[in-house]
Amino acid sequence: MMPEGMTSPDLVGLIERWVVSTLGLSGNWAPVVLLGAAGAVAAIMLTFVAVFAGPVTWVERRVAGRLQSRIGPNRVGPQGILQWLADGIKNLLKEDLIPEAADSLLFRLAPYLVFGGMFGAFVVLPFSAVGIAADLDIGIVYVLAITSIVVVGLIMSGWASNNKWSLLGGMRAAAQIVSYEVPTALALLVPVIISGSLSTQGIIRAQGAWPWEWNIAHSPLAFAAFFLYFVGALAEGNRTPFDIPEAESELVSGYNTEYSGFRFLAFAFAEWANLWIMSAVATTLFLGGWHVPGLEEIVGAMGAKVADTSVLYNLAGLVVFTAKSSLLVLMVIQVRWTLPRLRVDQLMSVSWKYLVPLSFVALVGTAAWMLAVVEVPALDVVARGLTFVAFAFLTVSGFLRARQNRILASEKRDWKWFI
Amino acid sequence: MERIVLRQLDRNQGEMLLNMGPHHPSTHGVINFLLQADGEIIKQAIPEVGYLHRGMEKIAEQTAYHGYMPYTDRVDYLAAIFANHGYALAVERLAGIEVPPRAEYLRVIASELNRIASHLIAVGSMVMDLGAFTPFLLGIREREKLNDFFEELVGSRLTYNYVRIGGVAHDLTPGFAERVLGFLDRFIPFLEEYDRLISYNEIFVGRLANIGVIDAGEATAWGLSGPNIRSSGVSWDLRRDDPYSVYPDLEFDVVVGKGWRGVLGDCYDRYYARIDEMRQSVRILRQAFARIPEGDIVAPKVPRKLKPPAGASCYAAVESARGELGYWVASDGTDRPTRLKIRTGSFTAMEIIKTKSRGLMIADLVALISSLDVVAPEIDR
Amino acid sequence: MKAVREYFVDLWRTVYSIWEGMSVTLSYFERRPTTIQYPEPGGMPLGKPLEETLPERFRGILEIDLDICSGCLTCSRTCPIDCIAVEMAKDAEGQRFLTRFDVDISKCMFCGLCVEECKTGALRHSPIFAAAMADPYNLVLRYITTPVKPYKQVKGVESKSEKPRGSIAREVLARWDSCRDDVSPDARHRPVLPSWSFGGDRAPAPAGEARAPAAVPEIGKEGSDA
Repeated sequence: MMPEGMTSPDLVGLIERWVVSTLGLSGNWAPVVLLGAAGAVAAIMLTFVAVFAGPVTWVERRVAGRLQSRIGPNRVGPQGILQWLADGIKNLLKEDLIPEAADSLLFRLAPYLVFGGMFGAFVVLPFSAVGIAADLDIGIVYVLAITSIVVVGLIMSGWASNNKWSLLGGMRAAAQIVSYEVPTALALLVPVIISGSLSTQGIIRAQGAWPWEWNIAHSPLAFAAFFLYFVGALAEGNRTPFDIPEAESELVSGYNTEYSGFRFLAFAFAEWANLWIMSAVATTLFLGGWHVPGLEEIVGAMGAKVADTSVLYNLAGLVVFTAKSSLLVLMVIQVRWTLPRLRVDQLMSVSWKYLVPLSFVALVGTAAWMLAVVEVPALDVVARGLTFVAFAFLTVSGFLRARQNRILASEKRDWKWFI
Repeated sequence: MERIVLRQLDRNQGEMLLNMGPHHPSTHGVINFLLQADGEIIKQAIPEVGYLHRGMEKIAEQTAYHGYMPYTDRVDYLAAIFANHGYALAVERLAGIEVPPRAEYLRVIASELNRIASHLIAVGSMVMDLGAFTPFLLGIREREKLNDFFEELVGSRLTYNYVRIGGVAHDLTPGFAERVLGFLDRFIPFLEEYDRLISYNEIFVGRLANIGVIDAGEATAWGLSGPNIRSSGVSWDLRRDDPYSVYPDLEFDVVVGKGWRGVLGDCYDRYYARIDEMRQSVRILRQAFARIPEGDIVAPKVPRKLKPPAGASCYAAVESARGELGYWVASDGTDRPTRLKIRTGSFTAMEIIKTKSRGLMIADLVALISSLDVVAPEIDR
Repeated sequence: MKAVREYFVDLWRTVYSIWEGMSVTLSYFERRPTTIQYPEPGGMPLGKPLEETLPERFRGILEIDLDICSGCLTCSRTCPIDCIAVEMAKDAEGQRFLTRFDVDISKCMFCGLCVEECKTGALRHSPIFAAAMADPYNLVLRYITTPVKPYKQVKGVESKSEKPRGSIAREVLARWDSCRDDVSPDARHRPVLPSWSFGGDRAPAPAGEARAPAAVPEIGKEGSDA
């Protein structure tokens, strides 16, 4: 854990310092350098979003294909890996249509708001020990706040399209995202209480590298909070089973019905970016972030100390973080292709009748638990052990059940993915 | 139609007219629903049919009796055998043709295979309308296997044209029975897997249970038939109550709605009745393959120019996957009918949507339409 | 108390049923996809062209083996939509010739009634189902290019086509595809039957005058996909 009062290094700061020291600039240049550094980091993040959002569409389609007993795209490039490029280019070449009856200004503005809102969250997503654009003190609150801008964009697009289906989609999106902010925020407060920090890096540093040192294993309540957050984030990102704003069998395509070309792509971009955001936030807050299991022990045994700015350490952290997030992304994809969609009123009742009370319980319970642990330290060990065992049991039993399902269907095992 | 709805709109309350269709993902073909809606809540949904009208009945008046058979495939493209079978039954009764038993068994085998295929689409598209895509495609996968069987038996995957007046077109191919029975053995576990995947899913149940409840009286009054009326608790099955073909010799249960996840006659009952009917079809198929006798597959001496007695008319109906599919045929002594009327289950099921849609949400209306399993060409003919 | 119990039972049932559903989809990760890769001849899992795997009864494009066609016109009379046109002519010595056997496969509904009626087995379904053409009029398949003597059926002798299934249709499709230059536009654009009539036993309507070419026929590169 960092000493009190010190912020951990971040990318903007590193670049700034590096530029100043190499060029030997005076203090007067500070604003310019800061802007330049921020721009550079924004470019890096944007590239990451683009490079993530593209291939993940391919991954999703391949996974969905596999779940549905088919293959999925495998024509463009080896195994179809360039499918996203083909789709992107196709979308860029499409005519940019703005309906005559649409409110032209709002119609144009909406995709920027949606994409901007999603992209803004990348400021505080930590990829490694220093791999964060800016380690804000109130990172979690910032994530919640900036992603809320998306709602405005969605309503705007629904309204400006001047299409009743789009309008319904926009309204649904508003109702949904606003009500799911509450349980999501409450669930996010649980790791905040546990770690005693609102900064994303601070929360990661407060956790350990091994699964039983993660926040998710802190107590059964934290374990529940993880799932509460996960469900809430699914709803905020308009993913199935909460994809009612764009329910294609009801609302044709919802708020983005009238969009085409790059504007449509911006919505899709935001959706995929959000997929990463929700997984990354869950990894950060509950799953130990970029901590590399075993690394500190090994380095400690060699008598050295891990430096935050070490390139290797950061690369290893990046790999671990990406792996954890990708697993969550895969899970989200699987959920999407398994479950049906809720109805609007059911969506509300899930939020207000189940998620909100349960997250309150988790929040208050965690606070009480913290006090109890202070009194009886053994509780912590027991709870961590039990939660870890429960988590392992859930995972293993899921796989065993899957195996049983395959055997019941009298099919042979086939892991061949590249067909 | 549109003007009628527009006149009824209460604009002060923010009501709007929504055109759901003719090209809407969940109208299952080209049907238009005029929704008088207050936001998400529907005041009424008026089905506007006729976009797919092809004049099937008029075509019959100008086509010879034998030549009309391929047209009947197009009455219901998901369950063509029933349309074939009903037409053949009607003409056979009109002309007094006796069908050999082997042909009857072959008709039953084809019908029940087709019922499974059709119900797979029905439950699959219903699930897809509620947002789950995977179960639909898994159902389609099983249906492809059935289509392969039809391709082998009949030569076609969709428009079978299998039944002939006085019999059927083709006999079983060697090894067909074993392959179908092998498929059925794996099909029952598939249905169980399907149940685990989606039927028992609480989100899915929540979307369907207690929605669009049609009680027994209403179902009878509106003339529903097939799985739709049975799931309202009325035990009415033409295979048992107006026996045709060899169904009286075969043992099967008439699936009746139980209301086990909601009220009797809700959308979930209509959904699950179809899954149960697939199980019954498997039962019938196993018996049919065990009992099928040797013999002719088409009645001897069916004249090529069929001329039923002048002035004769008759009605014959089969239990199609979508309810009673009946043909009324009138003859004037020539080789083509003077009048032919087709009664289909989908058309009658459309009627009830208007009353049942009151107070539903748009998402519920989608569930209601797909739970009635309407198919656009069957509505319009 | 009951309400509280129901609340948690509901919660548990939802979670459990979702877990069950997820385990079913998870099992598909280790199950083989059923997709057949279609256009390539060696596509997984067939390993040969799809046409060769189709069953014997498959109702594809109609083909006629002129070696055993007796020119009895049954097929064209049986057809409910008159998509088959057969013409006979006599030469100076009184010898009858088949001069025309056209199948309009853009109209044909592949019902198989004509094949059932054919006494010699000359008319049959090929396993070919893909016949995209650069010009829809090319879908009128003209099986006769030079007049053919009709086959005389001998009683008691079963006539059987010697040619492999699909070979005739494939040949004709190749001949008519891609708007070859040596076929005059007039001949190419001649419709089978200009009047729309319902089948039964009516005599086929007289062949009308040649239809004017719609436009300059483009030289298509699309193969017959056979």
